[in-house]
Amino acid sequence: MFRGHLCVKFANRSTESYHLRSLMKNLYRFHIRLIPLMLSIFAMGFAANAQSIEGDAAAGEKLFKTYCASCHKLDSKAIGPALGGVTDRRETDWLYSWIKNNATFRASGNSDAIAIFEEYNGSVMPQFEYLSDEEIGNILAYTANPPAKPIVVSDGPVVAGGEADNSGMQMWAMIILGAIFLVLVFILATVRNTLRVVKGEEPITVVEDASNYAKFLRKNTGFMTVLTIVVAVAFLNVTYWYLMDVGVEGGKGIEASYMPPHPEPGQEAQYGEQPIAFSHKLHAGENQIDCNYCHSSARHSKTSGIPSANVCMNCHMYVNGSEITDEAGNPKYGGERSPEIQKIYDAVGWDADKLAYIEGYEEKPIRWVRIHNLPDLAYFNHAQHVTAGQVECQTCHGPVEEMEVMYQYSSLTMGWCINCHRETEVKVNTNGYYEPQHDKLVEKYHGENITVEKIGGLECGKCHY
Amino acid sequence: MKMTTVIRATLAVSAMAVVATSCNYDNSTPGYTYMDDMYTSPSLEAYSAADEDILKNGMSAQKPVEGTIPRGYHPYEVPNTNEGYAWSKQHSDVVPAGFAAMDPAEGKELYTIFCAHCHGDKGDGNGILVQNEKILGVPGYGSSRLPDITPASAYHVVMYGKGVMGSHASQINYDERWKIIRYVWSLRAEQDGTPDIGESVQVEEEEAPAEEAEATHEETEEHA
Repeated sequence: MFRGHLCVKFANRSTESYHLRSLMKNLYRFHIRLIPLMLSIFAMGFAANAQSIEGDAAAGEKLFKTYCASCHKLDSKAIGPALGGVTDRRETDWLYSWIKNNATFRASGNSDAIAIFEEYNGSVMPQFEYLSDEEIGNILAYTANPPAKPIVVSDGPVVAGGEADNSGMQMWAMIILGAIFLVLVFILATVRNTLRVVKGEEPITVVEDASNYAKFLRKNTGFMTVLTIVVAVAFLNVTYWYLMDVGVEGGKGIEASYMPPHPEPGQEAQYGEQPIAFSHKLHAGENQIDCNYCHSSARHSKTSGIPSANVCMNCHMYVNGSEITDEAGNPKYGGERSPEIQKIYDAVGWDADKLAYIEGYEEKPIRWVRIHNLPDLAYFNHAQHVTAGQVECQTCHGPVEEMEVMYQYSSLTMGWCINCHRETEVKVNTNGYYEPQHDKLVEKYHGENITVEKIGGLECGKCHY
Repeated sequence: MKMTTVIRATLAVSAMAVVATSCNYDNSTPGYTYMDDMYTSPSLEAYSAADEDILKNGMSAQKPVEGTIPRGYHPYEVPNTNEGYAWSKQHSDVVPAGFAAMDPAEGKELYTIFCAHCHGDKGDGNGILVQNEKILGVPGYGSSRLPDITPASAYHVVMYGKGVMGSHASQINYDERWKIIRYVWSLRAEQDGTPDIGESVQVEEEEAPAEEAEATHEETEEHA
């Protein structure tokens, strides 16, 4: 009911904005048709101004995002100054000269141009001589009058927590069922006792009942023996799986599984809390950044590498989370920097207002909580698997690109390692460096599958020494 | 008699309560291990916590002493300034010999890992982060947008970053940087619709006298 109501509301709003937009568009077209008329009516003095402000802001937005947005934002300072309303602050001719070739413009001795260049510490703006006057006019029209963003209506499932709530619901259902059961027992006992009273017999309390059953059991030794054996076996079974689980910190390798289960689809893992709420789902999933971009040492070294904060800053110098929107399409942090990204800035000493590193800042390393921890008694090398073996990261780490919170997907037990070494075939065709060795192997085992086992993947000394 | 039954019942219920509440999966701690001495290394492993009194911030991964260079290090002494960038456009000393003759395909995988999410798979400046409007204004490699870049200036940008692009020197080593730049140059040719620089090298080699061609070949191997 409630969701339906919401949808209707959204739909209304979107049609409203659609009407508004089409109205605006029509007005625009009308306006553009008017330009030549206006130009002919008004004298030359007005011409330059009319040219700049009457541009196609929608086309200008695209151009702005392609050419300008890496250094300029509309409403805040970036590498260059904020450009919103720049046409009010500068003469149009001045802007054209600056945009086309600011170097020659500065060399011509324009004091304003030299001043702004020095204000931004001599960051060189590229020359845009290849942009036509019309294109620059469109960009300026966009900076003067950016079209309002249409409200985004998300069709996707809004409530991700719905299923997560289920587990709580189930527990309550169990408690209520238990209570009903107890009430039923009580009612039955009362009914029986009432019947006994009617028949003229003594009523029996629950405690007496229990002792009667106990007496019955004590007489039936055969039944007791079977019961004892069943209970003992169950107990031993539980103990065995519990002991097998000691030291195993994740994964689903052990069937009986007295370990943290994998989160159900749609449910979030509630594992150790990290100092920064980093989401692999956002970075590796939605934005498809390759695992090796951040974990760049996995290709060359034993450890995969927790990226140092300078790698975060490669993108987060620019991306500060202010663009993140919630389900309704409204800014999540009110257009401000994300507090989580601010934590990176605090760690490295980045002044996000001045867009520069603070000099002499004492860096505060981020203490990530370790998730995967292979025992010291086993040797594991990432480069050996990632570069030489060409194993996908997901083979061991699971669908990381879907994980909001990182968890250990595989059990990392010896049985798990060995099993993979028995089953995985060596990629003999796609690894040029080992070609001579691979050719020999193919010759030796003609026709047979060449698994990791056949190249010594089960030797004790490969991992334990 | 009655009293003992009550005590027994109380005991039984409390025992059940203890059993029921002791099943607590605390997922934030690793739990018990057998023979802890074999699990945790007495020497410092990568990322293992250290004594704060001995190592700064309690980190085992400390910065090396100033002036330390890793094995296979190639110095790059052009300063990270506007002048340095302009200099790199005019001088090609840093470009390894045989750059044009390198196989562009070698850098493709690395390009996909380190560059494609912004600059796009085709080098048109339309990577996934641009499409998602996370990072905007990323240039494509075509000559219309970047008319005067050279392999040496591209190396300068990889080393120090430029504009909103950060330094990638810590993530990519010397050989990989040049493999990537070589692939970028093949993408640049593709964007411009001109032949790849490798093709003109092949033509030159065919035309050159045999001895010279051999010499170039040896030089290439040396630097590879």
